[in-house]
Amino acid sequence: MIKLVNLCKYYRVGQGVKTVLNNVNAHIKPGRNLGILGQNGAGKSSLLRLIGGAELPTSGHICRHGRVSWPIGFSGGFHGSLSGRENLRFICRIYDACINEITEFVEDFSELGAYMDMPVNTYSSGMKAKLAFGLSMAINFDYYLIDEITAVGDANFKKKSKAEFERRKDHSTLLVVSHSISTIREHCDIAAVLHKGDLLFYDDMEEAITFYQALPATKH
Amino acid sequence: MITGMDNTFQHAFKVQQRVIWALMLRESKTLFGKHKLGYLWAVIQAAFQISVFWVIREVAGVQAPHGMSTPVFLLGGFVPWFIFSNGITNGMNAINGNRALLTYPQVSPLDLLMARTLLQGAMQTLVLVVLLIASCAMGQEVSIETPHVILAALLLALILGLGGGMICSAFNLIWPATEQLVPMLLRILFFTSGLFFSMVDLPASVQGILSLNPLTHVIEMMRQGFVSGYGEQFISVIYAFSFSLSILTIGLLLERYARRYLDRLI
Repeated sequence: MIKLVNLCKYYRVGQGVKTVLNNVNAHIKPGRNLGILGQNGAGKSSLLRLIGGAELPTSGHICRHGRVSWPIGFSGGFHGSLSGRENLRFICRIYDACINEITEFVEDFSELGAYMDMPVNTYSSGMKAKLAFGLSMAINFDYYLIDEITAVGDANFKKKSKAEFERRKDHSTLLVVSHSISTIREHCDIAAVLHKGDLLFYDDMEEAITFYQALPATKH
Repeated sequence: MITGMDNTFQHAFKVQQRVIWALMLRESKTLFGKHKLGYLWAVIQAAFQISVFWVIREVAGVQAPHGMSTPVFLLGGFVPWFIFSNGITNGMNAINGNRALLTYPQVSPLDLLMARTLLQGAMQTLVLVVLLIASCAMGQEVSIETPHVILAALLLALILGLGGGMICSAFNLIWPATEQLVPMLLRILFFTSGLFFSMVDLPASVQGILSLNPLTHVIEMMRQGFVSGYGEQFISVIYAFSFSLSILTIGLLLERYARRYLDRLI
């Protein structure tokens, strides 16, 4: 379970203050995939970074029971001059995961072949994404944080990724943030809407979607 | 709080140990990894700086100081200096260079800084050993009378570098102009910490001022490790230790405070 307790997050923007979360309390239960809808700039990615622990809240705290992934698709943590294999070892070490097991899985899943031993800065962006995706699948997380599901690789790899995700659903929980209703419908069981610093939960997904659609367009 | 497995201090400590070790292994490959000669560059850099000051001393006709040969005397000055100044430089760069790694929740800015500084400390200690052996092979007189004093001096340089690095890193987040200011301060310290001169040779009035600099004590302590009795009237171990530990404490506090400024970066 992930528990958000009195969570507040503000950013300083120029002279003003932007409120992303204003005293949010929530329980995210395992087993039911949660979709969080939000308009552009509502703070979806920030919320995900907070849950993942990459950022600290302004006040309040987050309790995590279970392993929470980094935002899936994030490949910024790779060091360009190290090979894919060396980068992978680093992640295994910080997550206390078995290096051999993970390497085997990623080699098989990511289809990088000889490139595993080449420096990451020789990779195409697709290869980098494959490595990152394979790695996040190799480490068994209880919660997968997903920022806008973006498909990686060719049709074949997409099929494989989708199958792997389906297999995950039995023992892992997905947390998807998106501005797209179809994404949330496809992957999630329940939905919440992030709007003006509030996280509004709905038991019925359609209710959430109706509310989200009724929101006025964002002003810039 | 960090991984959420169990919130005990012990667990957090274990995670941090793991992360710092992983970072050190990673840094060890990236630090000199792209150069053909690799770690030899660390030795070459140190040897070059020391040679320059050796030549200057020879040309100026200064005698080999206080019962030790010139290279040993200079090593005693430069090795703690490298450890210290690398710590400060790491404070400037460690976070900017590895910002993306902070996305992994178990990696904190402190880990980035500590991993780099510890690795460089270990490397400089190795450089010391290599250059001492090289000096010996060149027929210079090398004596190590109290090895534990040398180790203590190296440790103090490390603590000063680490604490100073944290302070600089924190100030750099709050006030980016720090990056411009610190190299100037380092330059002043380079000339006033006794790297290439001995405190006992200076007039009492200058001694009084320079003895406020903890690094001078560390460097003179290091030389005392080579030749006991050297600089005894000058060195205050208590001053060096309490100053270093205070710097480390202030550094840790500031680092924690400055984390809120990190959001601006990410």
